[in-house]
Amino acid sequence: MDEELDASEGARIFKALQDLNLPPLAPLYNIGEDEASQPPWAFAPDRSDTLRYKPHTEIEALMISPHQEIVESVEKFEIVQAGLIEAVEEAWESLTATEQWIYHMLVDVGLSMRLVALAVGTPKTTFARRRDDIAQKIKNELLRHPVVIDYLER
Amino acid sequence: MTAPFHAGSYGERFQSMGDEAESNFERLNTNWIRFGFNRPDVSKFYQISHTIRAAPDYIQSDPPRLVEVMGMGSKPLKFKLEKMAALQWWDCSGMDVWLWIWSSTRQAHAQIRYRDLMTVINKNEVSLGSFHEGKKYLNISSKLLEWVDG
Repeated sequence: MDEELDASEGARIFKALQDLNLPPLAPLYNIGEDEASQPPWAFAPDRSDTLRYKPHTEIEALMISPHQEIVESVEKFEIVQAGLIEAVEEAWESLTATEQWIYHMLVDVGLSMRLVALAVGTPKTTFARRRDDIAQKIKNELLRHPVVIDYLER
Repeated sequence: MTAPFHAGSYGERFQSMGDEAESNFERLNTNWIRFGFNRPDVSKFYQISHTIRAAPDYIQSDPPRLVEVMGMGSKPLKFKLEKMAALQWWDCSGMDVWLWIWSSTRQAHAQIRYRDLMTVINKNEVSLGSFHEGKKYLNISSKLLEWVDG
């Protein structure tokens, strides 16, 4: 029975999100305000990128790599990052307060489905369906954004 | 004979909340600095973000960690879900969060990393309880923790 509940696509999505050990989607900070109020991970540099020069603009990227694969410019990188952040924000905001709480408890806090189902007051099988619906909702909401599809296809 | 801690009114419990556990933590540890709030004397404290209100009690530099100190008696440890969620935020802050628990019954202490406690909670038959005002908590049996004589 438990194996069935854990084999759904929703279960796999939640497990994958939990394994990624992401920062909580509902931080204290409001992303988009001044830089000082943003969480440190928003500015964590990618170490591999610091080892090689990154062109600033799209034009510069074209000019430094003639007849080669075009290096991604800082400008393009920032546009993609902003688009991805916006997609995640919109996916998060599409969830109800209870759905956000369920996501937070399952993914960020890492409580088992049994305990979260108990806290919500729902039988485990009904709760598993609800969890799967949340996963599907997040997936659909993210895939509405071309920037997410492009990013996944890279 | 004094009444047990849990039998007192909220006002009585508030006056000594955590005192025994914290004094034992300070006695048995070195290199600590007070970090979280200790019964702050301000009005409308509840308006402050819960994550900040629930900041761990101590910070230690060697090894670097944030420590939440809790006390328990003969009954299981009541670990509120909202506290658990707040400590998770602190655990993502770049320093590990540890729980340091003093048992007045055993006169001993247990300490466990927050993430390891989550594993213990998920792997065992921990029950869920509810306070009068509806806040949920987990009942963590002392048998699930490793005790060291105080």
